[in-house]
Amino acid sequence: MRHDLIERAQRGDRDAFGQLAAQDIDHLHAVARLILRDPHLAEDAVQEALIRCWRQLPRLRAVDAYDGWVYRILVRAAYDESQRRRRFASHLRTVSIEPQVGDETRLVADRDELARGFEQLSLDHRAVVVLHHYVGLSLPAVAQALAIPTGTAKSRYFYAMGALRAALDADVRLAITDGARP
Amino acid sequence: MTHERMVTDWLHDEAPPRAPERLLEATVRAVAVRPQERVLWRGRRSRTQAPSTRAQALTLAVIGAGLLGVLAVLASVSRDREPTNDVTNGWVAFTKSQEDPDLVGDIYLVREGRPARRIVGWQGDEVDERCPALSPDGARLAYGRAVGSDYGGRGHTGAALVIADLDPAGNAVAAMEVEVGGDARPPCAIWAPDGRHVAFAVGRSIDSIEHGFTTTTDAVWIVRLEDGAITRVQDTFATDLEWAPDGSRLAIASGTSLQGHRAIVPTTEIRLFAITNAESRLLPGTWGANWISWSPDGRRIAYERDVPGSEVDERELVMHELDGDTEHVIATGYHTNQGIGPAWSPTGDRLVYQRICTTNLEMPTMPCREEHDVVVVTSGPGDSWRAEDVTVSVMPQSHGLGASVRPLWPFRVTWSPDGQSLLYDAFGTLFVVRPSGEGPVSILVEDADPEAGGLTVPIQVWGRRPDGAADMWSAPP
Repeated sequence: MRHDLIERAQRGDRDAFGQLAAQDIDHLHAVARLILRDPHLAEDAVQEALIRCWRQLPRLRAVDAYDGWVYRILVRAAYDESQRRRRFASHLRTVSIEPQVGDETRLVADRDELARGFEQLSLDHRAVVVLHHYVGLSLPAVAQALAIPTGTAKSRYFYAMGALRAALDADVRLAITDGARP
Repeated sequence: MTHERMVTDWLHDEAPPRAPERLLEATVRAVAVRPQERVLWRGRRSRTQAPSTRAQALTLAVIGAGLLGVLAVLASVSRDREPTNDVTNGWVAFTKSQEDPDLVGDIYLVREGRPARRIVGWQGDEVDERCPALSPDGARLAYGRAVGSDYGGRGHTGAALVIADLDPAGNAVAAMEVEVGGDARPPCAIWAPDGRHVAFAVGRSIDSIEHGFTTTTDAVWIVRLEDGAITRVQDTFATDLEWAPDGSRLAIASGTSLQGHRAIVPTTEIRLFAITNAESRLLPGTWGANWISWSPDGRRIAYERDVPGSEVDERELVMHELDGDTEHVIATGYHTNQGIGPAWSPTGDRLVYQRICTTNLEMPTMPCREEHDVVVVTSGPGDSWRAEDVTVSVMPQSHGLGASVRPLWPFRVTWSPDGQSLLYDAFGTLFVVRPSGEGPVSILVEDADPEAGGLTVPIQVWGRRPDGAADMWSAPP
């Protein structure tokens, strides 16, 4: 069914492409949102990516490669949107006026640090992490989707994960330091 | 939990489950007018045969911009550039919803004698823009934005604070956006007097068995505009925010739990949060404080609180002297409805607050519940704010004669920048009145949204350009 839709869309069937887009748009939107960390940029990137898919679909030789091809176009569109619009980039610190205790607080703090660490990563690194950990592609498949060598994908992945781990570790050290204050 | 698993879980939690419906619709519409790139022969690919849509769009945009520029020049030449009346002393930003059932707001500017102009949002969009606040120099506008409606108290999606530059023609161009989360209301920001920071409380709809759907706040965000740095003050449950006149500290009327919202349990108190070192200080004796106002000279904070020990929701107006942390009660034993709180005049010699049913404490509910007194308190000799020294003026409760009588019962009261006028936000009607209670009452708008509610609401809706020359109405509406 999906195969058939792709082939029909390749032949210029707009309805078929509309059905394909309807099937994929939630997932593509989530991927773009995770990579870009901005809802408006993500929406623009998804729309631009799907338009590019439609226009370039006749070029696609192997219908089976459609999904990876779409990821590549989406990530490319995300890059373009990120660069096209100079957006507000912030660094964030979180302070509390009440002492916090408990594992739940620790978990929330971890997630905050994870978010902060993720936002510090470049789009190249975010894309690899999202495609691997959210989409579920293997690192060679990530490399194929992004049209980069497998070694580069692995290098980006390990750098990104190291940076995220460092962000969490730094928060733990800060908590220990704060706790040691008289 | 392994680090890799933590990242995977976090990404799946962060990912929005669905794309906005309008995104698919817009994409399908866009695809419908775009040709595909054709492959001319196998093994070689053509350049796209369709003319470049970007080039077409650019050409049209250039032509359109040129025409608009010509029209704008012609219009500006032919329009009266002088305001018709100086009563409003500038322009007022307000929110107006589109038609039901969406209740999705857009932001307008108005001044007396001129029709209101929409400057943010457009008819038919699904974006709710609220809480306009003009920067101290009148050149920027902060407002909250979210997708969807808060109708029914179910909250919005994708809320963000937007800082827009206002050009002399009154056009708002978004320059900065601060996303605050998926289920938050549009943030209501307050500018620091030096214009270097904005602060806002993030409000969320809470579904609890005890209270049903209500709205509370869980953090105060402080944004430094110079570089976009954000300080998030956790677990504050703020009911009101107020900047020190020098912009160095933020006063936070703050609760200690989800019940910090006054409508549930008044557990709030005032903390002063230092911007530079993130240290906070609790103002002693301020338990129960909800609505606060910092005097222009920085020496005092006026606030409203529940009368200690009162079981009938009585309120009192308290003056806290920051030098020595002493305080005294200016007025007591009244009730509030929406609670406009105290608001200090820019000149520092007057304070306005609202009270209800002051003459019938035995009947705290209907029929006198809807009587709203707006009270202006003027300092006594030597800048004394003791109850025995101040002068109290009760403002008129109605406007007009006969069948056209309109009640002057505001949800919110704002001083004009020069302190010569008051703006009443009353059931969607914006009135301009003199703080003396005498003279003309003007109606600016009759179909605005009342910017009331339990969360912090900006009062910086009244602005003017410092140069005085820029007329926000020079461009066609």
